[in-house]
Amino acid sequence: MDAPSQKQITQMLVDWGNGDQAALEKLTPLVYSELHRLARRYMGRERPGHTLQTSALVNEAYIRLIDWKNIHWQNRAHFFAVSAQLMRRILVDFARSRNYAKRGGAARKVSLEEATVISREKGAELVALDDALDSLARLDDRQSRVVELRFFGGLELEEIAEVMKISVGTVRRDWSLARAWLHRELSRARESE
Amino acid sequence: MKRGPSASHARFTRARALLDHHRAVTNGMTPERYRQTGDIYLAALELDADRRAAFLDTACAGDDALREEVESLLASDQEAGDFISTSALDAMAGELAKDDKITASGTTFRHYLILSLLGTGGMAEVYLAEDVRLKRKVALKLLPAAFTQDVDSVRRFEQEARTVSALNHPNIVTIYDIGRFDNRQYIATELIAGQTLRDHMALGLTLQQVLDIAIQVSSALTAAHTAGVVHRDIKPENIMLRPDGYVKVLDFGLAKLADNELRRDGEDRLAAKRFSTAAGIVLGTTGYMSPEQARGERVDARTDIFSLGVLLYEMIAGRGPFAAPTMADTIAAILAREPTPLRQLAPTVPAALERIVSKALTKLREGRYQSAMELLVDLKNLNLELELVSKMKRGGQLDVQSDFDPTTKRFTTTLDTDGFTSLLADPSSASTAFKQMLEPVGGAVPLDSGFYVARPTDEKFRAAITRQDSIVLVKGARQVGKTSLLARGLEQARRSGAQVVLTDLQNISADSLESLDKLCITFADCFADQLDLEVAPSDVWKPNRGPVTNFEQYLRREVLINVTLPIVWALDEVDRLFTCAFGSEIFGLFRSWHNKRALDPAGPWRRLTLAIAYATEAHLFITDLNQSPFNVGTRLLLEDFTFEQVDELNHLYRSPLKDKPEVARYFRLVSGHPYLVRRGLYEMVTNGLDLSALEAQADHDEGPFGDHLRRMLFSLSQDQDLCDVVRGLLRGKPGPTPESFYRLRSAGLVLGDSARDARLRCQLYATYFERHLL
Repeated sequence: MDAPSQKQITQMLVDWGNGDQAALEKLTPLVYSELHRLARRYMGRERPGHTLQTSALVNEAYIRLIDWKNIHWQNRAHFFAVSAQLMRRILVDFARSRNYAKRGGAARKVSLEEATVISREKGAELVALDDALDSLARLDDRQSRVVELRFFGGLELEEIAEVMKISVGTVRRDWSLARAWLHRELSRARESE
Repeated sequence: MKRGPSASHARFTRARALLDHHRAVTNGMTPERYRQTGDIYLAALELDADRRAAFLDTACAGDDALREEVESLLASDQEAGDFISTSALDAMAGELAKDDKITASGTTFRHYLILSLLGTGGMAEVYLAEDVRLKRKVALKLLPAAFTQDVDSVRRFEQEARTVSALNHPNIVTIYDIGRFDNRQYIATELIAGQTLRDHMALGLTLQQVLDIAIQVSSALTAAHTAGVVHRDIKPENIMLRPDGYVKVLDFGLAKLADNELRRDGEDRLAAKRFSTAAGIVLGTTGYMSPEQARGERVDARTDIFSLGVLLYEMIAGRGPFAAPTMADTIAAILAREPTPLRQLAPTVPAALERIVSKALTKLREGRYQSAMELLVDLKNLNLELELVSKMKRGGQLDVQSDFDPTTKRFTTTLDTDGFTSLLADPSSASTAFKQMLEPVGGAVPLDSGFYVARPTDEKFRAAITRQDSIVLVKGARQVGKTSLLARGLEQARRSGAQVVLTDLQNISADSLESLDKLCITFADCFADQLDLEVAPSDVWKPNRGPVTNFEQYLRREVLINVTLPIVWALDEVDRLFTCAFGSEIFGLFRSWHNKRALDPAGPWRRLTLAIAYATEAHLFITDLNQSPFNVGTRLLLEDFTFEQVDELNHLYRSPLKDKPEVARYFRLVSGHPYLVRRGLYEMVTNGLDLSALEAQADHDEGPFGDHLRRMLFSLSQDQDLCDVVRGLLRGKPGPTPESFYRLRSAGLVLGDSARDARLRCQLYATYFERHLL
């Protein structure tokens, strides 16, 4: 991506973080198309059995999007929070909009590569997770933010600790509990169908 | 609460509604309790399995619920495996890569420049885009490729969408363009400022707003159903509210397209696939589904009525009539459960409204309103009543007011001092709203009136405007619907990007007609005002040039050359020019423009279309056709109603004519004269007359047709020759001259293919003229 767009995106992100809802509208399609491009490259490289370097994927997403040099150090925490939220919103919306694509089985001649099947299931899981995360936020806001930063933002535990200004141990514990709770909620949702 | 290992990594089949989730989650769980649970969980995690049990005994201290919570969390932690161990982006990368969306703003899609994403529904993305050809912003909807592979369903969908849009109904969103590009189906519609009904419902609605919205939606449905299109997916997300108060219904027919794709058996059923767990997400929201849709039966207009009933209920009560925790429960409720009476949820709801909603929500289709029109009438009725009440409250009157003749069909209102309790008479009798809807006989029928009987001329008129014919003449008897036709045609013209200037000659002041100069300036001013021109006529009017020349120059220089869009100049009530001294000059001018255009097809006059509406009767005054524009250009004659149309109108007016023989008798009395037919029916309905009673008064000067008859007589008596011809006809004497026959026929007084079989147009005229001429 060329430098000027990067600047624009960064500015829009900042604006959105400061409460400008209109910035989100402009931001979303740009970010989305970047993610799209990224995903294409990674899927192209994938060999059977080769697992994706996921943190690298997310990092690259941010590196390419954001004009790092111009993000001030003290804004970094806020910035990461905002970009994680953005990622969450875009991916969840995307997952929701893909849900129509579910089919009962044999009828269509779409080629179902395994990765695609798994992705589709993950799409549904993502949507359910998003809902569950909202519920979690009502019980413990910090835990939901940890999950958001890690799962959507791709940050490592140490980075999260730094950004949220808590100890790594706290982050670890929050993550463990939140994860257990979320997993349980999602399992229960599945079972009650 | 479930314990123990869950089925390992069972597949998800659908996403759960947020509401369900929150309800389940927050059942009994508070932040404090959660923290308590969490602390114990974390501590237990540090311990070996054998020491855990003992620890939990102490920590939970008899609180079984707490222990269960902790244990289930511990179990969940064990089984979580790689749950959210990779990032969300990783999870979605596969799907992302396969996605065929265009989302980057700045991309072009056919001739649309994508500006931003407005939103994603369950089925499509909607973008804010600009049509680069017409330079206007549109809402561009792109349908998922998955739904648009079946060529037949797409074609049918396109057809329906065009049909609905062609109605030009103010409450139906206009479709500008529909088609396929890059293997994606797209729809470009008008951009609507405002928000969905769903958003507004979140803010809360007053009773007046609820009624207003319901009326506009019913109006849209009435029009669409008449055109044979059922919406199938009426819900708050498909209804938008503009800041100026207009309600717009979106997405007619889209649900059908989606269902077509899911269908495998080729029948018109919303198959159970629509909400099978295998198929996944329900298309559309379950809550608004009608029983027949839930069962997979055929849908019809009454299906939309049910969904509208659900909508009404929800707007009033704050929640849906069939709201339930799961989809299956919702469907069960739709099929078998009666909703909680509205009164219990909204005590101030008027009884009439509760009855209306109830009727719309009747599970058996035969018990519902059979048409959106009936629902619309009831809603309008109620609306009027509420206005009456609030007026009376403001005016301090609280007693009963009745302004109808004491006949068998009297309408009674009883008002409580507390406000809105009222008793509506049996809906089958004439109600206020119904009468109000009849009111515009003699004036233009409102665009959304259910009483506008569409005739083939509408299409021809629109076609002529679209073709940019030089002159379009709309001729019809007085009070026949020309103005309505004109209005509709002009709407169409506007929507297709033309500039429209409307001059109503009835509204021109008398002194404008005093001199040709004043008249021309008045015309030029119309253009200046309505097109917002910078140069005013008075700026460039030269006294030494003739007024007609001034006008023509003004038109050519300021309008036709500067403005690149096509211009339609509509003139209504042009007959007024016949009796004015300068009529022939003006008509000559129009004629010359027509000629200029023929000589120079690429010239500026190409862009001007004249739409002239005038009354048939005016032909009594036209003696020299060659001077007028009335024998050139595209001529549209507003035809009389056919017998079938009169029959239909009778039905719409709730059958004051009791049977077909009576309709035939009525047809003999007034023929298919559009004004007389309506006037008579209106008279019968409002005064409770039967046909015999009407016949008795029909030819009286003070009778219902008095104005019309007197005017005809007056026009006729201006020409003694024509009077003689009519006398001759009444006495049974043989044929008028071809010329007088032609004039009388053009004026709508006589019928016949030639002078030989000339006869008076209807019994009414015969009786009346007999009395006054013989």
